[in-house]
Amino acid sequence: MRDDAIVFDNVSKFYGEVLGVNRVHLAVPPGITSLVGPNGSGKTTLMNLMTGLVRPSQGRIRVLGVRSDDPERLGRLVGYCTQFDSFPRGFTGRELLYGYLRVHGLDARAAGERTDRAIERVGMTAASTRKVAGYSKGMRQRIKLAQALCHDAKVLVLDEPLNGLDPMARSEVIALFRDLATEGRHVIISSHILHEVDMISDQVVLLHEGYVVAEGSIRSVRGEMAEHPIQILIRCDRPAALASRVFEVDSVVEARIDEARGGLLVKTKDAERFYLAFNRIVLENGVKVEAVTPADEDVDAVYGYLIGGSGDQT
Amino acid sequence: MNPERLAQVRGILRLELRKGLLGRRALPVYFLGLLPILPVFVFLVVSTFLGGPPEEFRGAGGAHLFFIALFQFILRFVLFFGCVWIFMNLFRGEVLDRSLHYYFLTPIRREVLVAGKYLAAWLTATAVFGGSTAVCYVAIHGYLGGGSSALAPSVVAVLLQYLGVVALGCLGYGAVFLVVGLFLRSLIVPAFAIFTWESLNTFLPAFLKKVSVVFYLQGLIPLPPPDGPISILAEPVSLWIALPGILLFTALTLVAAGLRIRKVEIAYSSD
Repeated sequence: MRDDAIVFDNVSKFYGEVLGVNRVHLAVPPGITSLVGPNGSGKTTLMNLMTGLVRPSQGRIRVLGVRSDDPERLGRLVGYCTQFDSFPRGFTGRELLYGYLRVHGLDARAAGERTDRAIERVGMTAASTRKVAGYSKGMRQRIKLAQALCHDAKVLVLDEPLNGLDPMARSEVIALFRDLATEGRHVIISSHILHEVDMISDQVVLLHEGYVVAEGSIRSVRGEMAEHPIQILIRCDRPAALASRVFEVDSVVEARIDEARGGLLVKTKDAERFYLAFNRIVLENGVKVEAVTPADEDVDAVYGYLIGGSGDQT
Repeated sequence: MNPERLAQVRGILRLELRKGLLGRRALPVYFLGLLPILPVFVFLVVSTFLGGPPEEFRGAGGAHLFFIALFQFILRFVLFFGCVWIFMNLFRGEVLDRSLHYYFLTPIRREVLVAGKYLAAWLTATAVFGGSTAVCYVAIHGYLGGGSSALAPSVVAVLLQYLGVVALGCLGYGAVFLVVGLFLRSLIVPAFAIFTWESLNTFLPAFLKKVSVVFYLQGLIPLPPPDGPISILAEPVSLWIALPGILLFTALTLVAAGLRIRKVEIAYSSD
């Protein structure tokens, strides 16, 4: 098994009769990985499994070579920002983190320093001496993030970490995720906000009803879906003229003016061949092109294709 | 135990003592701790207004007599239900508060977590109920036996023995209720079932008496209560059997709790 990845080897989890996840084979490399799927698809179960909070009914999990049922070693590797919006009662944000680090076995000084560093990193210094019970949703989210970060974990598992954050905080936290990934850490995120998942993920794991339906970078997952022609949106000064010429390319199966998106929407079975031919057509016709963007190379579209286009994305 | 694990246990003790002594869940414990002080206070006030205590309660002998009865209440009711509340909620309370993951995410062996939480709970219970016992004892002896008699070495020695019984009671009952809290979801039914069993101890056959915590504790009480007319007598156990017996029983139940906690999963909800 790989020691630089989070490896699920034929893992299933059942809660009595209810399926959590089934026959999961995964190897999550460093970087930002997003778990995507609707409620009940198994995202939190996967996260709970890799953090040792629940045990697999079948199969094995290793986090950077450490078994998930070895809390003594796993707890040092993994920081988990859970979805549970609950904390031990009566503590301030600072006391919560400090107490947590003392249970890690750190002495008072080291625990104090790390607490302050983590609190500063999530921008909670001013509110850290207030009781957690009085925190807003966003503040609670930040203190949970600080808890996940404070012991310098190599693997960060973050369940809906952007929930409750205002746009400014969201962009700060996303920048923090990028920094952490750049440092070589594994950052596992589940999020309902798909365009943010698109923006920040190095790879995605798409889940549906407890099964992993696809994994990898969005582009590679999308590229493997041969039955769905790739959609490309072209914004230019003469879309109609361009539309009449793109059919010269064999791989193009459809081209139409998309009023809503303000451009020409082309569907092609081979994007590479299309782009080569497209350059020639543009030059020959003197079309001024504003933008060429993949129209369905995002998590939303890919997930829709994979599960039959239900559109019920989370 | 290696230094790191000791540091982890200290970390747990810090958090748990604070929760146990200063948290919201401490209120019923303090209420139970005050319960035996209340009748003592009432007795002292009423006696003072009536011109002094009844004849049979005067002097050191009277003080002992009064405390023998009171300590049965402390042991069989206050300490019992105090331990029910403290120890059954050690893990069950965390699940209800949805805060057990806070500990489960730390790099600590689950067995060490059990030991740390149990130790903190035992210290809490012993401090509150031992404190309550000491207050009652000193007040009774100070009033009935005269102010100076409460500090007489022989009186203090007896108090220390009572406190030892309280500490052992918390140890034994704590172990029972820790395990019950880990294995069973309901708190009320097992607590009252065990309460009934412990209360009926006096009337049980000699061999069944031994399957209870209170039997071993009664043998250690410095001034045990007289047996009633319908109680079934059994040879009281000596300190050298009772003490290792309770310690061994505690160790075995902690092992059972450790095995159980390994399998506990966080299941407040599923996604």
